[in-house]
Amino acid sequence: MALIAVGPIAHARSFLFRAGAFVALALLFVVASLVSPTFATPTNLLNVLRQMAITGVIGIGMTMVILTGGIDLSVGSIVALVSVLVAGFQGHGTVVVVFLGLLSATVVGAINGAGVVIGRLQPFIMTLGMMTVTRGLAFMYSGGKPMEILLPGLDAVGSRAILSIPIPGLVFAVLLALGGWLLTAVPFGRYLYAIGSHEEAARLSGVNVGMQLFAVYALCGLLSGVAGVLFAAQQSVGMALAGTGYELNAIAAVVLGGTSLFGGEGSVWGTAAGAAIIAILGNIMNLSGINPFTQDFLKGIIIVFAVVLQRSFSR
Amino acid sequence: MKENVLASETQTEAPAFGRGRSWAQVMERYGILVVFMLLVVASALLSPVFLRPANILNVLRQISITGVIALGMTFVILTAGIDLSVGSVVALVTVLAASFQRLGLVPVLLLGLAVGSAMGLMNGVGIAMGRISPLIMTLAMMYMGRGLAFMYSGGLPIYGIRPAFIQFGNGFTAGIPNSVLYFVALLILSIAVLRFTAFGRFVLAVGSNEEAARLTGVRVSRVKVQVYLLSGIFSGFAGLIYAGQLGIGVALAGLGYELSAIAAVVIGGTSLFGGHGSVFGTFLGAAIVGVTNNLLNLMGIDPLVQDFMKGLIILAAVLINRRRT
Repeated sequence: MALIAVGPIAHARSFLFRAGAFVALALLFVVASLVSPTFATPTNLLNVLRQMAITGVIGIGMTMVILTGGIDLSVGSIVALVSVLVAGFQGHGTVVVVFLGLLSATVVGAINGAGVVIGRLQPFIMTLGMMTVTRGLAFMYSGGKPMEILLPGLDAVGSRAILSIPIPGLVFAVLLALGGWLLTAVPFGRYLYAIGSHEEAARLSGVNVGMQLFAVYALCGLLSGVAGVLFAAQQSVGMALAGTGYELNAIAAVVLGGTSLFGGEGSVWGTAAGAAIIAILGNIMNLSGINPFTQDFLKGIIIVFAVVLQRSFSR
Repeated sequence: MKENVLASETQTEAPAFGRGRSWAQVMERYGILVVFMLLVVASALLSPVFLRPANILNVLRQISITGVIALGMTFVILTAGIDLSVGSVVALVTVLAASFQRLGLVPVLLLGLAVGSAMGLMNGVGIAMGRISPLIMTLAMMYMGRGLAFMYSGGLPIYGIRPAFIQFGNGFTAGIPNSVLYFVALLILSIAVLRFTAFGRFVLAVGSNEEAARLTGVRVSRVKVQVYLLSGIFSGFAGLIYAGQLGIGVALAGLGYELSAIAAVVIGGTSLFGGHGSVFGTFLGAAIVGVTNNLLNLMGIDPLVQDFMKGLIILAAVLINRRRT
C-alpha cells in the first residue's frame, strides 16, 4: 500500500508520522501542567499510570491484532469473565485463580483465532459473537450479582507498589517492553506486519498465516485476561458488567497511537501514548473539578483535536 | 494486484443465472436468506406461538429501532466507513424531544431530525474534509453526543411526553405498529436508493475502490458527507421512535445500539471493507437477531443464559453464511 520512502525528507516525514502521537502527548502534558499545579506531581502521575494500566495492557494485544488488519471486540467481556472466575475460585488461593483466569482468557482468545482462521469468519463478527457469548458466561456464572473478592495476595497486586511504582503500572510497563520486543525483534512480530500489509504476499513468502493469526488472537485474549486480573485486584469485585466498553477504549488508544485499522502500520509505543492521552484527559478534567457529565463531551472534542494535530505533524 | 482485484470482482459480481449454477454460488447469493428461513422453521417447530401474527408484529416492533439505524449504517459501511455515534444521537434526540414537547408534534419531529442531521454532517465533514478516520471521528462524536445528553438532562430522566407523540411512536395504524410501518417504509426507500439512484452507485463505487471512483469523476468527499448525514438522520428518527415508545427522554438511551446495528449489517452479508452488500441483507440480519431474542423468550430461557445462546446462534448463522473464497 505505502509508497517506498526514499531520501532524508521521506525519513523525516516517516519519523514525524510515528512521532505524531508523542507530540500530541507532550503538548497535552504541558497544557495539563499549566492547568493544574497538582498534575505534574509524582503522586498524581503514578495515579495516571495506575488508571491507564488496564486499557494499556489490552491495547498491547489489540495493537497486534489490528496490525494484521483484524479487530477484537471480545476483550471487555474477557475482563468480566476473568473477574467473576477469580471471585468464584478465590478459595484456591491467588496463584491458582490467576492461572485459571489467564487460562480461560487464552481459551476465549484461541476460539476467536479458530473462528477467524478455520471458520474464515470476519474478525469483527467472530469477536462480536464471542463478546456476547463470553459476557453471557460471566452472567450465568455470577447469576448477575457482584461477587466480593477477599484475597490478600491479589489485593496487594492492586494496591501495593514496588519502588513506589504501583504494581499494575509495573505490569503494564513490563508487558509493553515485551510487546515492543516481540513486534520488532522476533519473526513472529515481523510476520504480523507482513500479514497486515498484504496477506497473500505474506503467505506466498512462506509465512504460516493461519498459525500467526491464531496465535495473535490467543495472545490478545491472554493480555485481556491480565487486564481482568488487574481489574479484580484493583476493584476487589468480580462482576459480569466489568469491562463494558473497554474494547472501544483500547481501539481508541491504538488508533490515536497511529496504528492503521487496515493493518501493517503501527507500534505498541504509539498505543501506550494513545492510552496515556486518554488517561491524562480524564485525570486533568477530574483535577479541574469538571462535572463528569461535561467530561464525556470534552473528551470527544479533544480526541478529534489530538487526531487533527497528529495529522498536521505527519504531513 | 490490480488485475487480480478486477478479476475477482467480475467473478463475484457476474450473476450466474441459469444452468451451471453450483450450490456454492446459490449459498453465496442467498445464504443469509437460507439461514433466516432455517431459523424461522426451527422457531415455528419449537414454539407454537411463534408464527401467530401478533408475535411476528412484536418481533418486527422490537427490531424496528435498531433496524432503522442499521439501514443508515449499511450505506456508511458500504463506503468502508463506520458510525459509532448512532446510539448517542438516539440519546440526545430522546432528551431534546422530551423537553421540547410544548412545541407540538411536528416541530419536535423536525427538531429530532435536525439534531441527527447536524451530528451526521459533523461526522461527514470531519471524515471527508478533515480526513479523520471514521472510527475515531464517530467515536469522538459518540462521546460528545452522550456528553451533551447528560449535560442537558443532568443525568435525570425527562418526563412529560404528550399523547400525540406517544401515538407517533407507540401507536397502531390499521392494526400494525407505527414503528414497523416506518421501518418497512424506510427499508423500501433505502433499497430503492441503493439500487436505482446515482447516489447508490456512487456509494458502492467509493467502497469498492475510492481512488478509482475519484478518477471516474465521483465526488468522493460529497458521497461520504452524504452517507454520514443519512446515518445521522436515520438515527435521529430512531431516537424519536424511542422517545415515543418509552415515554421519557434519558441520556442512557441507545447504549450499545452502534454494535447491534453493525451486527445486523455484517450478519446481513455487507463487507466491513466496503463495496459489497445489500440493504435487504441488513433487514435479514436484524430479523435474525430479533427472531433469536424472541425465540429465547418464548421458550422461557433464563435471561442470564440468553446472551450466551444469542452469541452462539449469531456465530452459527454467520458460519453457515460465510463467504466461500
